[in-house]
Amino acid sequence: MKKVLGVTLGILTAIGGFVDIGDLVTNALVGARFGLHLAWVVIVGVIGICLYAEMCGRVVAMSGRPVFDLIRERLGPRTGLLTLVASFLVTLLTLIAEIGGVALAFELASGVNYLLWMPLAAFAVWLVIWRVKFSRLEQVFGLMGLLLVVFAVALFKLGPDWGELLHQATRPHPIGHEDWSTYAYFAIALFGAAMTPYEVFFFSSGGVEEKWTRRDLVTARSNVFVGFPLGGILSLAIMGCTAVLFLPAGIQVGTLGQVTLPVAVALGKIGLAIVLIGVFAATFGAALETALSCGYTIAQYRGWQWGKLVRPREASRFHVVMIVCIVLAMLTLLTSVDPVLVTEYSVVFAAMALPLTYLPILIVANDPDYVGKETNGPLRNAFGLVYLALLVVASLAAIPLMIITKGGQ
Amino acid sequence: MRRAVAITLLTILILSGCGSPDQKLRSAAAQSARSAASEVSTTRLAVEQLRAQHLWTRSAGQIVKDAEKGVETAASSFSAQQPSTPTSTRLYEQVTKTLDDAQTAVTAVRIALGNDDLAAAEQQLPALRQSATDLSRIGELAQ
Repeated sequence: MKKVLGVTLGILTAIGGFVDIGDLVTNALVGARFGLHLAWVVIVGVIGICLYAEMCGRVVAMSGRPVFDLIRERLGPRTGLLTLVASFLVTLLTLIAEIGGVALAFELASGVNYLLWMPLAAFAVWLVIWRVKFSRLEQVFGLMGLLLVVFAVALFKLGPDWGELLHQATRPHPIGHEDWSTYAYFAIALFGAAMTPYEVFFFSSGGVEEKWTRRDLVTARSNVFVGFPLGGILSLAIMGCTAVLFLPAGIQVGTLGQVTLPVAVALGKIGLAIVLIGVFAATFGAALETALSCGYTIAQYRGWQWGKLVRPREASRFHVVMIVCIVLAMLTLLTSVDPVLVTEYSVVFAAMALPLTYLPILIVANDPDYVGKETNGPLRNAFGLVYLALLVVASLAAIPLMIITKGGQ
Repeated sequence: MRRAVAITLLTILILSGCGSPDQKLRSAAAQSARSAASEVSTTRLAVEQLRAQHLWTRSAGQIVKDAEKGVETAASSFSAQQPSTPTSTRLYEQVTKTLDDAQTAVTAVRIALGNDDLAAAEQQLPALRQSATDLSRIGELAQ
């Protein structure tokens, strides 16, 4: 019974934890501009993150070591450094976007400028990381993030023409004045949002923090194969809401207020309150995860003591990295750069860094020295290679498409 | 390798900026009008939801403030264009006026909501609808 509860809790946490500011903004933006004509990318992205997160979970359960630690050992310091730089910079950019998202949620609820909320949000992120137990912070914000299910309720309440939505979802092409280049650009952004590198680093480091062993493989796999796809359905619900309400009205999404507006239209003030708490939980939870991931990646690469189970005094450099990253994020946001714009760029840059993040994972998951008999089978490797090819294409196309479309305008 | 890089760069440059001055202006007008129409429609939706008591005044005020910034950005981006033919000058003036009207209506709503005057905000609804229609028409210029 305890085991079943643990697995259920893990799944619920994974659903709530799947959606972050990148998913919120990108899905809403894409739904408003393309309807569900890009919904297939979410499905492709969710399959990809499941594939590689499962590999990470297996590596951790079998070796007891996080993936980044093994990347350096298996591929050498130079390749490890390349992976570190790419993943770290994208994670830092994501941290900036998440802290900005927390401040924007407060701004929307209070009417007080987000720049005033931001130092408070950054301080709260640090305080929670410093004081709260790992399992507690993961569960509390993951479960609170489940409130975003309100988007699915809102979609039903908006009374869409389901046949029309299905029609859109099964016709992958640009519509209206959109052309193939913007379509491809936002496909890459959605892909980047679904497969953000920090998700796998946090997942694997979290497995070490929770001391996963071979017996925890079931928990790890259920989190991945049930929790992440259900999180993907949440993403589709967000896209569906803006597709139903904004696409016919010609409204483009550029602010967090617009992301939450469909829920207010469908469910009124109670819906708005729920969605704001959900957005806060999703962005705050992701801010904790990205701040921890910044610390994890550098500490694991350098071979420092790391983790929330270790006393801060013994893992001082790990904590210093996180504090520096949080301060950097705060200073960047204080320049009054638009957090939503940072989010839009962060998912595209994430797409660029994807091959550097996921190729080493594929290599380590095939090494019997680390995973024993649990190496990838032929089917997993075939899927892994197909996805790697997709990641390379997305990575190479991201910058040219960004230039051609002027950032998706 | 160098040749491939040079060809790629040239293709990107061609795709990203060239065309006749009239075409470029039409494209810029359509782009700005679509952005502004989006902000005007957002403002209209926020006022309608406030009237239906689906939104708090503060949240509606914040949404309209953001929309006002968006219209300003669209208008200033278009005003930086350089019309060089009589046709493009006419288009420039027409689009500038439509964008100004949109900006005025959205600003009036922002001021009304700041004063907790829902009635004054509601009075702007016909202007917002008209503005959105005009801007959408301009937005169709460059399909």
